[in-house]
Amino acid sequence: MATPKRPVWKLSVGEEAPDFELTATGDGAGKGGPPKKIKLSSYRGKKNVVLAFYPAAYTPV
Amino acid sequence: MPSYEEDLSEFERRNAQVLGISVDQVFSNEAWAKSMGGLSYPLLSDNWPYGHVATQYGVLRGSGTTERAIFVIDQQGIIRYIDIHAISEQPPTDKIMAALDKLK
Repeated sequence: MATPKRPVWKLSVGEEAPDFELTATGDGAGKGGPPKKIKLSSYRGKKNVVLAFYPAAYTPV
Repeated sequence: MPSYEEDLSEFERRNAQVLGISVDQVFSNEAWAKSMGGLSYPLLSDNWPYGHVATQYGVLRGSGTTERAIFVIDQQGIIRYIDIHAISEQPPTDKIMAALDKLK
């Protein structure tokens, strides 16, 4: 049995999260709001962030 | 992703913003979310350059999609919790909440 390939682990707890700016749906996805840019560092000093990577749209959970 | 919708008030109570992120394009995410009746948090498109952010976070797979992964980031921008899950499983919400509770 081959060992499943795992991605190289790059980040650790305690490290600064890489900042990014991405195009996103509106504040609530699927509600017809216009796309907007979201910058991770814009939450600094305001909110904690739960960044949830998911494989692809339309994937069952 | 839809399961977080049920926990939204719990995230709000912990002053946490949920951001969904995948390599899909915005219109795909919007259509998908609409098919589920809408979500209360945004979906981000890591689509151009393709998977750029996923690569930085170490969660881009060889297949071109991302791992199912959670990063809890505090208000100083520091990573406080990482969970990378089997692609068919949903990361346990209780552990995410516990990680957020420690930030208070």
